Amino acid sequence: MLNFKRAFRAAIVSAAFSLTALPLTALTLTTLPAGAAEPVRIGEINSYTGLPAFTIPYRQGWELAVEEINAKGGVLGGRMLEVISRDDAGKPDDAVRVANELVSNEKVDILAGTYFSHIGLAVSDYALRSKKVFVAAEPLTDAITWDKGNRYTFRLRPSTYMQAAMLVDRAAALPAKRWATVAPNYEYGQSAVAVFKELLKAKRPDIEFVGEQWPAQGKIDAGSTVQALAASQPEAIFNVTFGPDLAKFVREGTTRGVFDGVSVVSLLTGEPEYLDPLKGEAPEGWIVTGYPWDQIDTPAHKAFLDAYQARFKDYPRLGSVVGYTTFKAIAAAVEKAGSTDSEKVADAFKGLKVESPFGGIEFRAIDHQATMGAYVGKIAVKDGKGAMTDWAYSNGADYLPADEVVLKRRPQ
Amino acid sequence: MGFYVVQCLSGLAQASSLFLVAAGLSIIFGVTRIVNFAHGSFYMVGAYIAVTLAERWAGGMGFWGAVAIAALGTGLLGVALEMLVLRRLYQSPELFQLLATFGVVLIVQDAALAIWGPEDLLGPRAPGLEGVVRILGRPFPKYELLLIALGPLVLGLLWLVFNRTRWGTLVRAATQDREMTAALGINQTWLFTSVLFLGSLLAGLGGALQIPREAVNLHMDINIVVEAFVVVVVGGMGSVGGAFLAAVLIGQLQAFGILIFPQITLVIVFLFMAVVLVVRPHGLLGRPQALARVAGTAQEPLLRSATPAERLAGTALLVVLALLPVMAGDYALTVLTEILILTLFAASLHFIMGPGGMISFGHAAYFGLGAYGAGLLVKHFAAGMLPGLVAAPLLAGGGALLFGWFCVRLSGVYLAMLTLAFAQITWSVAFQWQAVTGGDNGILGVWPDGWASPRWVFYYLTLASAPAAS
Repeated sequence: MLNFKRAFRAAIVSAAFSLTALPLTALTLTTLPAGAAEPVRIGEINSYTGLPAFTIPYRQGWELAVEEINAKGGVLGGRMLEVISRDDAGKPDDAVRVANELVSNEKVDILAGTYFSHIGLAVSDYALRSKKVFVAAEPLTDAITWDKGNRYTFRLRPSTYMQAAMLVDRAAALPAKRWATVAPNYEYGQSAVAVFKELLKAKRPDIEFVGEQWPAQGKIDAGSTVQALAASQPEAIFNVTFGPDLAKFVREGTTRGVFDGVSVVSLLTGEPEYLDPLKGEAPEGWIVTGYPWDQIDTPAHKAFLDAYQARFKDYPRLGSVVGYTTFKAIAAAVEKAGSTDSEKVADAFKGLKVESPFGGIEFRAIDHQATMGAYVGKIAVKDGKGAMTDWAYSNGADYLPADEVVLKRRPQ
Repeated sequence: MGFYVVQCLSGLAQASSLFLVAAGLSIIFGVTRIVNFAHGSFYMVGAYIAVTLAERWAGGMGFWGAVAIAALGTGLLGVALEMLVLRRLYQSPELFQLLATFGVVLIVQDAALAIWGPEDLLGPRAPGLEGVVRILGRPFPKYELLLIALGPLVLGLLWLVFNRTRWGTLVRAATQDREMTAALGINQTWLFTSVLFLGSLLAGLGGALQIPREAVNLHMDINIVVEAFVVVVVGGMGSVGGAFLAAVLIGQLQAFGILIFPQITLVIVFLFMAVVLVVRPHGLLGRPQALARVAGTAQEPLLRSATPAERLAGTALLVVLALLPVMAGDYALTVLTEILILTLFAASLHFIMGPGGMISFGHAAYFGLGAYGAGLLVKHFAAGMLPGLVAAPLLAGGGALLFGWFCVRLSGVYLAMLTLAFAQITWSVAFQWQAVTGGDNGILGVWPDGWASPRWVFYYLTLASAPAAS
């Protein structure tokens, strides 16, 4: 046995580490008029310190939604929404700990949020165990509604499968027969490429995949990767890299002329979060999924855009729409359930119809996936900035597999 | 043919940028013996300063002026780091130095976020070098050619400085035998500060030169520093020539490795480091470190029996811990359980580093092996919780036996880095082997068996196993 002094010191250090991580990130948004009914408490978790570029627009989105809902008198005849927001530091174990804290100590009625897929899955597993409804806002992994789906978890954003399927529509129309893929070396990249290959092959049996590259996320050796892709002489490339990797990939590829005469189809690149940092070097002609916030003129989007810009003096990113719609959906579900009881809210979410800035969406009863879609278009450079042209809204409902496929993948 | 030449050149360009950072790190370690985790932060700050200035001052002079000022500015930051932090740490154990410099990493990260904002910043390209030249009919960026030339150039300059100036002689002397140099009346304070200046300047230069190649972002620091460490260790700590050789080898391995086996990107660097360290325990061109002669403070015996007072305190603590579930709520119990788990982990690390005398940077690998072992047994073999709990430590122990067989021949930083290499290899297997481990999504739905699922039962289970094991 080691002596106790040392063991005790180690215990103090580890205790200090885990305790300091907890209360610092608390942020409570209360807009309670005096003497009002008990609020509906929502526990919100996201990677605010790890990914500020993505999660700050997202937070502004849900703040706007909560303010709008409460200004109209809240839900259930006068109960306000109260959000208790926590940071997960980009780690699944931290996320589960704060989820537990939100449920056990803060007595929240509903959990929401998360960005990374593995964190979303960890919280969804906790939601199942603690029997609390969890609305996964941003994670993309198919597993969260299919292979690892559960009764209490619902997901808003179009999944990897849906977005890849939207791109396949356009990819199949291209004359290209020789395809190469480049994707970050983890679950997201792997499943995006797998879905894209499968669906494109089904539509176009005459094509072949001639090369693939799997750079490490955040550490792409762009020169070598681009060159290796070019060596397989593809006529088209499917890209899944994003963020700093994408910028490197675009620069090296453009400089070396790898994209000349080659069609590129690229996941998420049209989202302002990824497109804007590329500025005037946005790769023209790439076919992408994204969000042309400055061009959508539906009344629903216009109302959202005006309110957002008036409130934050900034333009919305895709995350803003996701955050906004997530909380509108939660309010609608509670209203439909007529209660904050987990079982009733979970039932209410099934088939729930919500108005979003992108139009009406529905949380499917079969797999808890929302039918929110994405905009598919081409990248162009206007006034030294990347923008989407030639775009159209792809309704998420049209890009999900047949019900029996879903039922086979989802545990019953 | 042309393709292979161009691929080789791409690898060389990557090697050059890696070398600039690694050379600085190697020089700093050689003299101060400090594992400076903050080196990557200088690289990032260099890139941020350069991108800000280059945006402001257009034109050729503007770009190169921005690079020069960024390098000098980071050099000065290095001086500040030495005077404020490192100076106090020269006698501390390696792990303390690592923690302190890691603290600097976090501070710099937050400062960079506050100053430059969360969005990635795409800088201008180098004026006059935007285009390509054709090499055997294949386009190759001019800027990368410049980088390729810069690597050997910096290597040559460093050689001149170290071999043809008095300052260089002193640095070499201090690298070989710090105490003897001090005994001969060399002012170490000044020497160490200037070394930090040169090393950080190189990191800043490396970062500034990246702006035509990549968007400057808040993750650059961690991404580069691990690879730079690998380069330094593979080359031999303190050997600049070794760092160059290692950078070139790693650059080429990456460039050609992805042609044969594209999935290898996560692991290739660490695999290479593990192989080199197993075959050459002090890196390619490194020499065994001179033992630091610590002035004769008596070391506390690492294992001794507890005094009666300590026994009493320990027993009292156990009693308090055992009584806690009576008043603590569910959440507090979960946190206490986590604390107990971390205590056990900390005790195990202490055991290996204290009585064992082995520095491990890869200790988390065994934590992971244990967790995966239990998780996989429960998930794939429906083994239940108790068999999982018994089998998991055996799996971790087996892993340690395998890695340890290679590691124990090494000592000091080389040992630490080899353990890190094995930890990284283990990690990338878990990360990539999706069919078994679930990749980065992990293994879900592993919860205690029914009888152990109330929080207080699980707490007692942990409380019983933590002190029993230590």
